[in-house]
Order: sequence, then C-alpha cells, then structure tokens
Amino acid sequence: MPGPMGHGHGRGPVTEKAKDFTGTLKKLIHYIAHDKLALFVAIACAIGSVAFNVTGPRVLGEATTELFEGIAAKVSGTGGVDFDAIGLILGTALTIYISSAVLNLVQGWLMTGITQRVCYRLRREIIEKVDRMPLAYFERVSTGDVMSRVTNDVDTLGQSLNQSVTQLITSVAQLVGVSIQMLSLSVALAGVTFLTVPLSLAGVMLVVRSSQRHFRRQQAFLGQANGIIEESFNGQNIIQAYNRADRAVAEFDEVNEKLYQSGWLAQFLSGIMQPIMAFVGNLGYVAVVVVGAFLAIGGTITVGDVQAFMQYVRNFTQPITQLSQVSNMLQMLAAAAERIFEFLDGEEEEDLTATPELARTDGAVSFDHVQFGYVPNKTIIHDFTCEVEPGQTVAIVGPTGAGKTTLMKLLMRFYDVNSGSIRVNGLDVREYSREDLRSNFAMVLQDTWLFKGSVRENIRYGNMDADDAMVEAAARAALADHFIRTLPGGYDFELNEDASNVSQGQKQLLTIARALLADRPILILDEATSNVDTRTEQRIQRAMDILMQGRTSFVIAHRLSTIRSADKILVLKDGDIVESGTHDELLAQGGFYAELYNSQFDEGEGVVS
Amino acid sequence: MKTFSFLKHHKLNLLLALALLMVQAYCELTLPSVMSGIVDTGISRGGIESAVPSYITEASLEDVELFLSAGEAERVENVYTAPNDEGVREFAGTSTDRRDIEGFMAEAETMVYLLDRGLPLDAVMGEQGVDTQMQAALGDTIDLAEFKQLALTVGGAASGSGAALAPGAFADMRAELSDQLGDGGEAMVEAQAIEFVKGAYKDAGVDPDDVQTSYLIREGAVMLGYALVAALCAIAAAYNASRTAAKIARGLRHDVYERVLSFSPAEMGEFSEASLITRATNDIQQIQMVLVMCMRMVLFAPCMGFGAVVKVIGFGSTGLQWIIVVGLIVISAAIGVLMALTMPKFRRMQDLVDRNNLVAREIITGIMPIRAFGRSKDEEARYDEANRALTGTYIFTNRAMSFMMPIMLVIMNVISVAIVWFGGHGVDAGAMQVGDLMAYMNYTMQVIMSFMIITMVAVMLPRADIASERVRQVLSTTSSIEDPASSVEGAQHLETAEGERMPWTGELSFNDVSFTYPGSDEPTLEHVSFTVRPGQTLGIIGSTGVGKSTLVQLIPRLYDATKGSVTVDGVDVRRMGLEELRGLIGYVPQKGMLFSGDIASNIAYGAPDLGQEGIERAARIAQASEFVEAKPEGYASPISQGGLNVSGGQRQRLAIARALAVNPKILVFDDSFSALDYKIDSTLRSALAREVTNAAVVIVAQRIATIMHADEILVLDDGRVVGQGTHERLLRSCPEYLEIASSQLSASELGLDSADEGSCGASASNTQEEVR
Repeated sequence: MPGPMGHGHGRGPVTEKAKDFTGTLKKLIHYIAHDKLALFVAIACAIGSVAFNVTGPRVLGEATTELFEGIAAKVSGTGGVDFDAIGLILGTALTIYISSAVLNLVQGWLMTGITQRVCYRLRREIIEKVDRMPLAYFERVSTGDVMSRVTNDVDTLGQSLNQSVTQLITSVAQLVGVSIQMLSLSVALAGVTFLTVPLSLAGVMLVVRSSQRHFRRQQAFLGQANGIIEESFNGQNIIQAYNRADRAVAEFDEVNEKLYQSGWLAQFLSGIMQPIMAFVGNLGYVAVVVVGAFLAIGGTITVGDVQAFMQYVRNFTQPITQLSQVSNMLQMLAAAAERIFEFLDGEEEEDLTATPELARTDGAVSFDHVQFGYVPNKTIIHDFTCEVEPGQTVAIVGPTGAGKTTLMKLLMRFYDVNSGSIRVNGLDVREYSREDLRSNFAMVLQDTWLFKGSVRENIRYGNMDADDAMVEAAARAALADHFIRTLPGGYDFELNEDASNVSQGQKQLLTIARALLADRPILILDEATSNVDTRTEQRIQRAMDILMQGRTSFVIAHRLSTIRSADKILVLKDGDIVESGTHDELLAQGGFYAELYNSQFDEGEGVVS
Repeated sequence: MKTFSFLKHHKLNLLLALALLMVQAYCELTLPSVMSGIVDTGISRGGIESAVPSYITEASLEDVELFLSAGEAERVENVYTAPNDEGVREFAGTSTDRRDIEGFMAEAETMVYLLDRGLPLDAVMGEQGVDTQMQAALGDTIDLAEFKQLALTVGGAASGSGAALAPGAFADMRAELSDQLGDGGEAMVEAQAIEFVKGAYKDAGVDPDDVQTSYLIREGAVMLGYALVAALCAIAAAYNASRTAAKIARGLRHDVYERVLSFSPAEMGEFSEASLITRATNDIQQIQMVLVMCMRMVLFAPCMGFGAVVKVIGFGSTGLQWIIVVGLIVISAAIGVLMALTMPKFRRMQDLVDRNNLVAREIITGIMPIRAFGRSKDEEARYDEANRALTGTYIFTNRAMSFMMPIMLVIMNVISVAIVWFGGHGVDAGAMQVGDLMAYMNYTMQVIMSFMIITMVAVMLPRADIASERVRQVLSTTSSIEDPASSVEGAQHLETAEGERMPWTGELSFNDVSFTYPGSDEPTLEHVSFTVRPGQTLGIIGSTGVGKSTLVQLIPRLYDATKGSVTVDGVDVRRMGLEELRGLIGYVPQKGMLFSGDIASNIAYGAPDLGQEGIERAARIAQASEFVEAKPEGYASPISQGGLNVSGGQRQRLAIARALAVNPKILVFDDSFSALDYKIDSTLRSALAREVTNAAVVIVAQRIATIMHADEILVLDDGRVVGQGTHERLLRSCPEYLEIASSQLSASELGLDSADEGSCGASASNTQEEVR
C-alpha cells in the first residue's frame, strides 16, 4: 500500500522517431516469437499478478469493515469484534499478496531471460552480418555508427523491451482489473473515478508534449556543446598559441547558456508530471471520499468498501501515467530496433561455395582492361592492364586518389570490377569463393591491425597451424624477435587495445611476421612504412625485403626510396597507368615519375633568401 | 557526498528546497489524517465532531446539567446563549472552551442518552436496592422522566410535582454509573454522546444530515487544499531543483572548459584528451541529474520519514511500533542480501561490456585483414564467447533486481496486514479508532517508503561521487605555465632615444635549454642552444621521440624550460605576457587541426581583423588557393569539426595559411610538411622564401629534403644535439645526419662525391645541379 504520492522521477529521454513504427514492431514481435511459450507464461503471470494485486485491497477492506461493524455492535451492546473472521480475511489477503508477488517474480524472471536472449541474438547476428557485408558499406559508414548499433541500440532495445512489455501488460491489466473491481463495488463511485481520466490524460499529454520538445532541444544543444568541447580540447594548443582562449570561452558560453535554458526547462517539465498526476489523483480521492461517505450514510455501501475504493483510486491514476511512459518507451524501442534491423537487412556479398581445381598457385596476377568506380558515373580506374609474373615485385606510385589502394581491393575482391577482369593464378577472381581467393594473399597495411591478446597469438593469426617454434622463426625472420624478447613476458606479452603499448614501428614488424608466417603466394604492402620515422623504416624495409623473396608482391609507397628496387614500377595518375618500367628507365624518360621523384629536392634553398 | 559540495554556493536554493519539501511533506502527511477524520467523523459519527452540540434545546441542556457538578454546570451555562423564541440555545464559546467541557459533557450526555432509552432498574438503584413497590410502578427499566420523578419524590414530597430539580442533582450518579459502564471506555462514551447530540439537534430543529453534508464538503475542501499546496510545493521544488542543478552544471562546464583551455600539454597529457572530454560532458551531465534528484527525492525522503515518525509516535502507545521496526530491519536485510549478491557481478559487468565492445570494434576495424586471413568464423566464435559472458551476467543481475519489487511489495503488504490484525485488537480494546488505524497504516508506509528511497539513493550516490571527483580534479589543476603579473611590453628594454617602444624583431634564442617532463627522471632535451634571426631558417631533424616537438613547444610556452632560457630579442619568454609572446608566433602543429566554420574563418583564426585580401595572400603562400578556389563556395566553404571534410594535405596547408595570416615574427613548423607530397612541399617552401622575409623560421621535419637548405640544421638524438650546422657540413661531420640522409636519398642526390653506391646513381645525378 504505497502512500498518497510515490516519488518516482518521470524522465523522458527522447530519441528520433522510427520511420516505420508498426512495421518495426511487427518485425520485433516476430523476433521474440522464438520464445513464444516463455512470453505467454510471462504475460499470464503479469496479468495474474495484477489481478491478485487488485483484489488485495478489497479483501483487506473487508477486514476493516468487519472490525468497524464489530466495534459498532459492541457499542450498541449487540455483539463484539469477531477476530476469527478477521483473521481469516487477513489470511486470505496475505495469500493473495504473496501470490501476486510470486507471479510478479516469475514474470520478471522470464521477461529478463526473453529480452536478454533477444539482445544476445541481435548482437551475434550483427557481428555475423558484418562478415557478410561488402567492404563498401564500412567505407561509407563509420565504425562508431556500427558500434553504436551493437552497443547502444541493443542495450536500449533490451531495457525498453523488458520495461515496456511488462508495463504495458501490467498497466492495461491494472486498469481493467481496477475498473472491474470498482464497478462491482459501486457503480456510482466508479463513475466518479472515471471522471478523473480525461483530466489525467490531458495533464499527461500536456506535460509530456512540452517536456519532450525541450528534451529534444536539450539534446541538440548538448550535442553542440559536446562538439565544441571535443573540438576545442583537441585543438587546445592551437587556441592557446593563437591567443583565442577568451573568444573560445565566450563562444562556448553562448551554447552553454542555451543548454542551461533548455536543460532546466526539460528537467522541470518532466519533474512536474508527478505532482500534477498526484494532484489529479487526490482530486479523485476526495471526490470518492465525499461521495462514498454519502453513499455510506445511505447504507448503499459499507465503510470498508469506501476504504478499498480509496486504494483503487490510487491504483487507477498510476497506470495511466505509466501508459504514457510506455508509449514514450515504445518510441525509443522502435527507433533502436529499426536501426538494428536496417543493418541486418543491409546488402550482402553473394559468394560461390566452391572454387574450381587450380592448375597452379604460383601467384601470377593479370589485370585485363579493368574499369572501376565506387559509385556509378564516377570511374576511378579507367582502363588498367598489367601482367605480373610469379615472384615479381611491382611498385605502384602516384598521387593520392590515383586509385592505388583501390586496385588492391579489386585484386582481393573487396569490390568487383565494372568491366574487364582480374586473374589470379590464371583464374578469374569471380570464379573463386572469396575465402579461397583471399587465401592467396598476405597483407601489410599502413593501419596495423592487431588485436588485444598476446604477441604470439597475433603473429599466429594468419596461420593457426603454426607451432610456437614457427611463430618465433617468423618473428626472427621479420627482425621482430629481438624486441619481442625485451618485452615483459616475451611472446606472451599482452598487446592492449589498439596495441598502444608497443611502438608504431614494432607493430609494423609484428604484422610483417604475421604475413610471413601466413606464407601466401601474393603479398600486398600498402604504405607499410609511412607512419614511422626513417631509421625504423630501414629496419622494416629490411624485414619486408625478406618477406618479398619468392613472392609476387605489390608495394604501394609514398617514399620513393622504398620502391627503387622494384621489378616493375607502375605510375598511376587518375586511374590510368601513365608510365611503367624500372626506376632507371622511368627516370630516363623524364616524365611524371621523374618529376615526382625530383621534387624531393626541388627548390631546396627554401626559406633562406 | 562530494556531489553535494557543489551546492555550497547555492545555500539559499538548498534552504528553499528544504523548506518547500518540508511543507510538501507536512501536507502529504496531513492528508491521511484529514482522510481518517472524514471516515471517522464524517461517516461513522454522522459529521458530528464534538460532544458539545452547537445547538441544543433548553430542556435537553437542563437534563444534561442534572448530571454535572455545580461548577461544571456553570461553565456550560457560560458558553451557551440565552434560549431564543423556540427555546434553542446556541454554543458561543471558543474551540478551547469546547475542548474543556467536552469530557464531562460527553459523560453527562451518555447518562441522559442511556436513561432516555431506559436502563435496568437494579443497575440504577444500585445498593439502595429495588423494592417491589417501585418495581411494580416502573417495570424492569427506568427512563429519565421516571428517574427525575423518583428523585423528586425521594428528595422532598413537599415540593410537589411542579418543582424542578437543580443542576447537579445526579452528579454523583454520573461517576458511579460511568464506573459501572467503564469497560466500554471512552470510545463507548463518545459514541453514546454523539447519539445524544444527534437527537439534540433534531429536537433543536437542525437536520443532522445537513450537519453531516456540510462537514463532508468542508473537510473535502480542506483535503483538496492540502493536496493543492503539496502539488504546488512539489512543482516549486522541481523548479528550484532543476534550475539550481542546471545552473551548477552550466558553471561547471564553463569552469572546466576555461580551465582546460589554459592547460599546458603537460596537464593535457596527464589527464588525456578523451578523459577531459568525458569529464566536461558526461560527468557534468551526470552530476546535474544527481543534483536534481538530491534536491527533490533525497531531501524529501528524510522530511517525509521524519514527519511520519513524529506522526506515528503521536498516536501514543498503540503497541504497534514494533511492526515498523521489524519491517525496517527486514527491508534492510532484503536490500543488503540483494546488493551483496549482485554487487560483485555489477563490478564485473563493466569489464564484460568493455570486452564485448572491444571484440566488436576489432572485428569492424579489421574487416580487411580478417577476410584476407580467412578468419571470419574464428572471430565470430571469439565474439560469441564475449557475448555469452555478457548476456549471462546481464541475466543474473537483471533477475536479481527483478526480485526487488515483489519482495518490497510483500514486505509492505505483510506490514499492512499485521497492522490491521494487531491494530484491530487495539481498536477492540478502545485504544484507537478504525480511522486512526488506517491513518497509522498510511504513516507506516511513508516511513518505510522513505527508508527505501534513501537506501536506493545511497547505492547510487557513489557513482555520482566518482563523476564529481573527476570534475574536481580538473578544476583543482592549474596550468604549469604561469602568466607573469606584468608583461614586458614590447621591447621596453630597447627604448629608442625618443622613449618610444620598439617593436619586437623576433630574434629567437635557446640558451643552454634543458627540459624534463614533470614526473620523469630523464631529461627530454639537454643543453640546446641556438639563435635564429629574422629572415633565417633553423631546421630540426631526428628520429621520432627524440624531443623535436617538445623543443618547438617551448617557443610559444606550451612548456617552460627546466633549465636555461628561451629568449625573444633577449627577453626571457617567461617574463613576457603569454598573449604578447603568442601574438608574435605563427605555430603550425604536427596534426593539421581546423575548427568548424569556414575556410576564411580558419585562416583568419589568429587575426580576426584580417581582410579577404590578407586571407587570400596567406592561402596563396601556403599553396592552398588552388584547391580552395576550386571549391564552389571558395573561401566560404564550410569546414566540419576538426576539419575532417578536407584531406590531410589540404588541412595542413590551411593550418600553414593560418600561421602566416598572423604575420608572425617567429614561424614554427612542427613536422608540418610530412602530410604534403613532395611537389607541394617544395613549392610551398620556395613561396615561403619569397614572401616571408622578416620572420625567424623554425622547421621540424622528417624528410631531409625539407630542411637541407636551412641556414642551420639541428640534429637531435635522444634529446641531445648531436650535430649543428649546414647540410654540407653535417654530411661530413655528423654520422647520425648522414645515416638519416642516406636512408632517404642516394649519395649523389646528397651531393656527395663518392657516387659509387645507390642503385640509381647514374640516372639521378641531375638533381641538384639541375634545380639550381
């Protein structure tokens, strides 16, 4: 029996609305249907729990009536209080309350299981989906966006699903149950109570609507303020160096002020929901007491009934407030679910299951009139043709945006050519299953991707069959063995997130060791040394030379010194080969390559006049 | 509790909140007693509040006075008006009078009421005994009229039937009789008295139903009034709380923002940028939320709890207090067990969430290598493991938490039932009334609810305290760079003969500068000395992590030298005002970072008054005009947060234009050319050479080509200067320089005579001669 005013805090977080509310909910329901039986039992328990909870006050009221009548009888000398009867009634009430609680418990237990299992499945399916989606998707959408679907959206869904389903059922059940009980006690009093419904609804609507508007504004200003904070903290030394701190603070204060205004209003408006609803509740309460008293005088109902009724009035306004929160929660739920389903329904790469038998796996590669663009009408590679013999080293140079990395992505079939063809080992890449095709390649990229785990596990990543001795041999060959041994724990040293506990150069040596151990016929080295200083670069270069021996290698580099020794240099400009040949040949031609190369030392006198 | 300390400067608001909540609590606590009054008085006592009737006929009052002592009767007479034409007397005293006389009036009225309805004869006559004659005359019972007659007969036959009895005639009997009826107690007396008053009203021509109706409507209005005041107080408290908390958050955001902008890289490094952003955003937001809750719920719960306890005690010895105590103990135990059960899991939860996110992030960022190595299935298995662990813990904690509500409900319902049971016996014994019982139950629930709220909040507060502590740390940290109280204005030390201030020329000197990062044992820079005059260029080269960036950060005083001094025109930079100093410097940091706005606002960042012409000139020198003008909106093209909507090379060129726009006396490039391709690098440098002739230029570079033509080159290794001089000299004298140089260029490109090494020596022999 809660007191006249329970003090929860009605906070309405607002997210954008789902575009297709009912469609998304249908999908979600379909999804939950997996746990049909548990869901039905949970719903039944919720309804049962509410039903018992609604009967409770009535039974307890009977005890009061019994007591009241007993005392009255005693006064008029015609009898006394029948404690046996009261005991019986109280026993019943207790049984009802405990049954309600047990059912509530079972319902909570089941619903938690259902929602968490849904969350588990959604998380798993998102990650599995990641594997089937084309790389293009991830170049278009930021990692943060995908991450927020795995984390925030699934969490939001989990929380709001549990609460909204439970609250929806209990609120409706409570409304119906209380209405029935009230009507059966006294139609007149029930009528008085129902009169407060439109009042409650009006109050809820008014408050919710205005508070949501301000919450949205607050969210927007919060976003702005956070943006400014992030940017300024990031460029904090520039702000200082340019004496802009005062102005930056003044600009921030403007947004901060707006955030304050919208923030307190949003908080305030969501905070007055409770008192307003409590007052409407009290209004109904007084009406019931006064009217109930008249009816009691008239002998239409008993005092105990009036008392029970007063409980019902409380239990009647509460679900109305709750239902308004449920509708808010359902909005959030739908928005989160929609983003998740949108991702799960995204495009997938189609794939072949089997690859034809190969005559050879020597790493021969040929590009034949390849044309490609990421978006239609915007061709990046116009007409690329090139034969690469097994074991050759091919350097690809050219200004940024010339399509160097794109070529490599086509080669590994992260994208498909628009026209022309690419052959690996004499077979068109589209005739391979992707996994088989990619098993021909090892890569060393500018972004060293290592995972949180031991050095050993990271090196073994490309070849799970390798034993520890092979791992160490690969590391030795990649000139990484020495530094690994100086790490605490050696090969068992745990790399942390982003492997930030080893240097950039060391990370690169590890990826080279990984590629070496993977032992693939074709090697792709994409700007592998651009993030390290020149002395480290020399080391990595030596390791890469070892790695390239006997393998078909593609080297993309910014620093021309790393590509001087290639068998073939392809100079790319705007997606076309403008020149090709060895370093010496190209310099002799005096064309684009020579210009690029010589600009290293151009106009060197620099700033000195 | 640290969170509360933010309220220090808002004591008035805190007091206001407390006052409002106290009024609210008072109103809400009064509501149940008004309610119980309505049930007790309004329904069961027909709206009659007192045994002292407001209207009574003269005759009825006389009857009552028979049972009062002379003194009592006189007091009664004093508070009633003289009878009107219909013989009705009206109560005219105060409510105090009413309370004073109520006790004996009720007893007397009970006597009258009981006698009126007839009493067993033997009970009335007591030890005097009942003789048969009397019994024959009166029957088994005796009523008031007969009794009065009897009294007159016994008292003195002479007076005759016309004589009246004096007030107080039966005063002794009252005590005697009420003793006999005693076991029904006060409640019984009161109930009979009310019946008497009802009758008296009827006799006096007042409709008792009207009395009841007006009572119910009046009390209903009172109850509504309390409810309204409670609601208004709650709204006012919400207003006060949300405004105050938002104000505090606004202040904190301002303070943190301003403070962080004053931090030197040392403090930035100490906190890390990401952590500072979290502190300025999420942490403060959380503090605001908690403060609102504090000022509404947390303060309200004790007000309510205390009030309810007072009310409960006010009921006197109901013998029910133990139920509350037991209830509180059981609830604490239940919460304690639940917390003990879930807390360790909650603590582990964050790790599991982190693990889950980590693996997901690794899978998303590693799509290329994962697919290339064919490890998708293994990655999915790895994620599944993390996902399972997380789901398992979620299910455990959520289930444990779903126990909370039903358990609380059961405890509260058991308490209600217990109160009705034990209270029922109390009512039966006359210790309390049914309405009181209901009110008592209500107060008990209030006490328990308040206790629960306090407990729950106590569980939440530590988390908010962590946020508060993190914000406090920022606010209590001051920049290690101190702005001197009085700046050396201009070149004061070099006043002209006419006493005018000479402008700064920008001659930059490092005099035996050493620098050690705070908290570090090893110096990052040792014994660095050089001088760059306006128009000259200093190049700095060395491997990563040897202190090149640190060195140039000493110039705009992002750090201060630990030993030695940095001077501009011979003035120690520590004696110059920070603004004065930084106004002289154009600084281009390593990562080209822009601010949201447009291209023009970014170039004019350090010189807001710069016109379009100046902006375009800076862009031209920085080799940015070509790509800027190629954009449809030109200089008005928007720049997104951090400048991420332009490429790295473009960003860097705009950052260089920004530095040029301030028309600096000292120009500092901290490895700013690496993001540029070779061609732009070289054209930019030649443009700089042509256009910027009066500034001292310091260039940190990784490419030898960028600095090989500087007037002086500083080769750093492990914070020490291992070579200092021109390119040609260093090639011959400094092995470290030669090593770096030969890793990037062939021997002939370097202009070395021994051209017998390097694979492309022959074809590259044209370089320098051709260029010059």
